[in-house]
Amino acid sequence: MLPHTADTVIIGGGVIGASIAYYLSKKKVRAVLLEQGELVSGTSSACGGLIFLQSKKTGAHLALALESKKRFAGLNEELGAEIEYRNEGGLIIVEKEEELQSIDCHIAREKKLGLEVSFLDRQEARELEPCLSENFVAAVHCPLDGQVNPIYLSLAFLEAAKRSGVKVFPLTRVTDIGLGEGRVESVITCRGKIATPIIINAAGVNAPDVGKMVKTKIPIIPRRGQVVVTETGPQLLKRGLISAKYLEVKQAAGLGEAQEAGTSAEQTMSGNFLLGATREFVGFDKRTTWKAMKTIVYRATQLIPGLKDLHIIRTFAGLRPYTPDGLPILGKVTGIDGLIIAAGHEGDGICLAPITGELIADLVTEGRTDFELGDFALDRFEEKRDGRLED
Amino acid sequence: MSKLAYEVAIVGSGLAGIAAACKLAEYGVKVVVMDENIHIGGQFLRRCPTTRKASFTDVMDLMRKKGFKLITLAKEKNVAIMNRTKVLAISDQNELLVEDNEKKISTIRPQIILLATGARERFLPFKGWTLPGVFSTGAIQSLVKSFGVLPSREIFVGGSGPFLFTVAWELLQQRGRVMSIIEQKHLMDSLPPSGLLFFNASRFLQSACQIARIVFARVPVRYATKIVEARGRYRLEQVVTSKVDRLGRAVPGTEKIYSSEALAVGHGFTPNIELAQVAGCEIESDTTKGGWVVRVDQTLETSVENVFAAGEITGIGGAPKSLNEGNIAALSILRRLGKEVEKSVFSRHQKKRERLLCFARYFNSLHMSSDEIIKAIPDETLICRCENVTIKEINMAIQQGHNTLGALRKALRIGMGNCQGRICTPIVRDLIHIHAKATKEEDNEILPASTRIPVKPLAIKSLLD
Repeated sequence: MLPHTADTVIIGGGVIGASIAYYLSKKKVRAVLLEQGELVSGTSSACGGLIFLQSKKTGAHLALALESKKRFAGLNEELGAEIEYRNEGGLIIVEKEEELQSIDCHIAREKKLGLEVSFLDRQEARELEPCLSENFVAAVHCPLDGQVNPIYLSLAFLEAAKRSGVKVFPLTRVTDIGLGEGRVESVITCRGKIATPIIINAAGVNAPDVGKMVKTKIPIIPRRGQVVVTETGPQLLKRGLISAKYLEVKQAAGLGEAQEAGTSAEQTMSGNFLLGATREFVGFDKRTTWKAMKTIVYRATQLIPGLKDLHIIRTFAGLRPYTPDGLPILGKVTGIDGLIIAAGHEGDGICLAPITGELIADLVTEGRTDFELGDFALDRFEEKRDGRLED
Repeated sequence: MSKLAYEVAIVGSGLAGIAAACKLAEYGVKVVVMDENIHIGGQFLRRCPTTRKASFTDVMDLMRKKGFKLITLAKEKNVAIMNRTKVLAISDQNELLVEDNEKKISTIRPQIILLATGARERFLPFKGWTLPGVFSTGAIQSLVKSFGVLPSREIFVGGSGPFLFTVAWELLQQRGRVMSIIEQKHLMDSLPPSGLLFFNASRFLQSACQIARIVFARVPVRYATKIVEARGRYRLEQVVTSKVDRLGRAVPGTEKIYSSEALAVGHGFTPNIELAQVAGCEIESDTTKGGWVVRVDQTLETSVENVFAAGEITGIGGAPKSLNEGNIAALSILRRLGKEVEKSVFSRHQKKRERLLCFARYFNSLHMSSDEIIKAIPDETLICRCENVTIKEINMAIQQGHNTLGALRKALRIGMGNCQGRICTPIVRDLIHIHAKATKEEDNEILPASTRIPVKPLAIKSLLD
């Protein structure tokens, strides 16, 4: 049974909603989380587990990631569940000479912000990861990068939140939001209505649908990322790695067709390899294509020849919530009191989940955050700060 | 990447596939049949390499004879046959991604696809079922029929359903010694309704012949008995059985211990729906059809246009149903291709199909395990062998609200291993169902977890060549 009232309603049962639920529960907020499908059944269940700092945009984005990263170390214990977090570092692999220059600039900017990164030549990189081939020029190492099991992380947030009194309802679709005098009053779902002063839109790729209910345009578009899963293999790869090309496509954030989205590779605790990536705009189509499978595997084996001895057992695709500037949308929605958004993390949702949850929880209880969220506000996309849709 | 001009591609060369291929070839349709096995013919039409004498029961086996005739016919009619060929994917344009017998990857783009991917065995796990020496009845049959090999001189056969008798009979034919047949059902629950006897006389007669041979060999048949445990240090040494009551509960004090080196177990069949799932076909859940099956209309077309399905994947029903559906699918495909097909032929097959479906419901009821039997599986029993998940962990997760296959996969990694859930999901489905009944939750249809390409594990090496 849905409760009739709640202090806060979170829409979305992915890693972001789950994290917000957890941090709210720590502050004893009587929160309710609603998920239209099964819990953790969308983007958060169809992604890799890389926690990369090196891949963030230098500026507020990286600062946010650094804060988030600090919280990961204690999470295993705090949540009382195994989330398979490891802090082994990460590598950016530079495959072509011509990519060196932009990588140099990237490193310089990161160092300026205090991120510990070091430039490695091929030999040094191969000493760190002996499974690497000779088919690259150089690498950038960041000891702060890590990995986590994204599904376990999301489920652990939810379980911990539930233990502290957050009510979680899967298969509960929000159909409308009740407004009164410029503020939110209630959430209407397929299973009943909940009166609440605060609503958090953490619906990821579906956030625009929630926005429409209050005539607010949210510029999030689903961007498909395909991942290839191999059978479990011997421990070959200790760190997560992405190619410079991957970084370039990620940071370009343009709407261009990007079949060539570079390489990402990681080995899970179970021993399976997760290989990526694509960044495609194909609507809500979550199917995988064998063309992408082939491209991904070809590129990955160029870097890690040992993969050739393994079998592919599965592929999957997730819809990353893309925003035009590659930054998430976090904070209060101007013009509608009580409405908060936390969505649009694209490929950074796992990495940014802990800090997102904490900041949004602060916003709910204190009305403000210690971390300046200005760069992430929804109205950065509006020329005249007029976020309303004309119907 | 070659694109050969086939009008119809058939996946699976069992009775359904081969029957359809012959019928289509008769009308001059260009057709290719693909099968992942070395020999075509599927599970039913395995050729025995030894030259044992044909027995009376063999003579009775008209269905098998028909099948081998069809294989010869298919070759005469120039049906293209690709053995040791895996279909890894079907795209939304109905294009097939194929790994052939030389491990080369190519695509085939036919106008129409017929899925006849058959079925695999179902298992009801018990303590020690993963010990070496415990075989599936299908694996034993394959050893005996295709290779003439006995896993051990003396073999125990156990589980449920008439297939146990077929396997025992085959073992006897190969001069194996069947120690005992352990059938979970009560004899009274196994008897067919008299209405079925008439239309399926030859089938029952054949079964009777097999049973006669088994009785003649003095093999003890123990009804209302289940396998409780397989014991052994490194491999099977002992089999523990127990009597069960009408609900399937173990009767205390009836345990018996037998020494044995080989145990063949089987609990019926479940359709191979994975390729159909990838093609986008709708799947329905129906216990009387053997679990998850591909939804088809009267013409055997699936929910995806120009993709048809025939045989066990539309519902477990045995060889005659597969043969019949192979013919119906071929006629429907011929119509789709614009060929003239006599209406009366079509409706004759349709009528026959209805009778066969009645038989299929009875046939599947013989394999169903009662809730009590499933509930009696001990806590530490492995269910997902790939990821080492026990029944206790699964039941706890279901109680915590992970009550769908997708949710269980996330919480416990069930079905994430190399077999991608082929072995464990039917029993996990039963566990979810039992929980739903106990908590009186609304009985939602339990859907299978999603399947993605490649449908079968694919060596990265062959993808890159």
